[in-house]
Amino acid sequence: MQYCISVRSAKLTIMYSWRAKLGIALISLMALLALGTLAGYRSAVQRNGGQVDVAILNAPRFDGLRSILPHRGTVGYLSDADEKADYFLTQYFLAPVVVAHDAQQDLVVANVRSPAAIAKLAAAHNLTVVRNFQNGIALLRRN
Amino acid sequence: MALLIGFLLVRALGPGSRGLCRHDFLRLILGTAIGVGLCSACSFLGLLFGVSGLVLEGLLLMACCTAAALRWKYTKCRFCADPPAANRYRVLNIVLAVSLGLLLTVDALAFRWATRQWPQGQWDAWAIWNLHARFLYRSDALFWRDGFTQLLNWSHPDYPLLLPAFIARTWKLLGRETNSVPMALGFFFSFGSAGLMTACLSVLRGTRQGLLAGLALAATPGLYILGASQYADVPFAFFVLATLACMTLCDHFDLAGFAVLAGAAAALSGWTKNEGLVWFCAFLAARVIVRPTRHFLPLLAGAAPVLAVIFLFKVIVAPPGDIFGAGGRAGMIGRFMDAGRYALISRSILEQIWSFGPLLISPFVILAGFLFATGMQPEERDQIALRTSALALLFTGVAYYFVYVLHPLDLRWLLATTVNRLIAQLWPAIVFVVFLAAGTIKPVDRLTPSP
Repeated sequence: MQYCISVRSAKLTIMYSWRAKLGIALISLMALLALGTLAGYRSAVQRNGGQVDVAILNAPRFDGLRSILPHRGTVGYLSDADEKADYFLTQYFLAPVVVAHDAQQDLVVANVRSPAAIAKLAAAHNLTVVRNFQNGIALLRRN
Repeated sequence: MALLIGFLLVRALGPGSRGLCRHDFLRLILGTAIGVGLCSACSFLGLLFGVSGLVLEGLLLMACCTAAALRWKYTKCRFCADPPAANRYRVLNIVLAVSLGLLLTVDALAFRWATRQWPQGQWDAWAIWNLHARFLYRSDALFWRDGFTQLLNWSHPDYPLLLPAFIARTWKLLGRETNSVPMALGFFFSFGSAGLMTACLSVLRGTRQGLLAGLALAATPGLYILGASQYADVPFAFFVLATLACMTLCDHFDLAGFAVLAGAAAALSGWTKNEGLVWFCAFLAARVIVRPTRHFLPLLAGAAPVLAVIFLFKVIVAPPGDIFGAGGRAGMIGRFMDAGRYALISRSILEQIWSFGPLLISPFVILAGFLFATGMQPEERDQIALRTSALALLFTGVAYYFVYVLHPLDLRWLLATTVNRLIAQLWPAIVFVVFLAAGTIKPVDRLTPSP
């Protein structure tokens, strides 16, 4: 960073102080480190290229259920897995119906990992299977 | 609509030249963000009072048009009239501008990779913001409050509605739900922060300082990934930065209109996240301590309409929150007296500050080095804004610390999932303050005899 302009017998030299050079160097270093991080992020994304977002993956499972649920109201929720994400996603897909995390409602949604669990959960909570969508999702009704 | 409302509002309050000038870039970024916030507030008020949010937006647009038109005849751009000392040697500026452009391009690529991986956003996006947007969009006008019930406390129904209401309103306009809306918001607020930083510091301290600050912010990849994850922390960070930028422009050029915009931006941070109310109070307290009499009423006037909307939401719609609800108050004294919590919080914050970025070296260390290298040389007329900004950030940091101390949820989990995001919320504002305080990079002329 040094420019020279000849002015007749004298030369105007434009210099940056060491402090200015250090300041620019530090911000340049930060930019280079960021490029390194972004390159690392790119490889991580490529490594996980086959992974599909859970929100995308699960969406079609709820299409059938959504079409038979009332437009509004509160339904219960049962599962054979203690996974918060499963419950949160169920609510995300079924909004504006409110999904309460209990089996006290007249209608209860079952979201299970093992298909055999639907009948067991229904029996344990005195519920009848209204419809089993054969994809781990079922609608149950209080007897 | 949001862009027009905001841009005209900023043109009315922070007058520009009769035609367009280069500073309209700053007005456009600031205006779009404020426009998004105001449209979101109109949408919420429309739902609350059973009128069309679009009618309210139309009225607001007419008011902004009228105000901008009334100012137009007598207006001139104060930024053009009072530029910072010119940089005579532009080669370095060109190098910095090209570097900033390249880095932002790579950030944009990373944003694209992340949105392709998580088109619906990450956990908080679909469990909170987009879920609330779905409740607002999919419900009838009478039943939109169904989603704001204590049955769904895990989805934080007490969180304010800037993002959900704006997303739902835009879906209604488009006639369909699409991920493009939250993605576009994330993109605008992520890259808008770098734009606002560069444009504002260019006006205040010269193009070179603006470009260096923009480069420092662009060199924080985490911020752009967070934006692509559709988290509200990035819009919140934008409004925190906008508060400081507007107040500094107000003090620097003695433009009361920018104090109104600063107040609006601070209040809109409270309409984005609950932490925004902490930021608003911290900023107000800092201003009262540093210079209570200067532009204080315009500041409050700008905040008042948005604060009224937040008040209506909190009183009429939102259930009690985690911390100050009945569950949160239980055991609060015990948590406050527990020394172990203080040690754990301090250690976690220091660890996250070190790994923030994420870069190999903490950006906090790099910025401290930059400040050491250039020295603290703020302009005299920026002193009040600088002290206000630093104090407001300090107050906010302390408030966040005590929220951790008092919070009823599992502390280790809370720290692991939130500290880096809270740092990200304040990071653009920290960069702004550092570059406002730092000396500018100027060459030293030497006349040497020619051989």
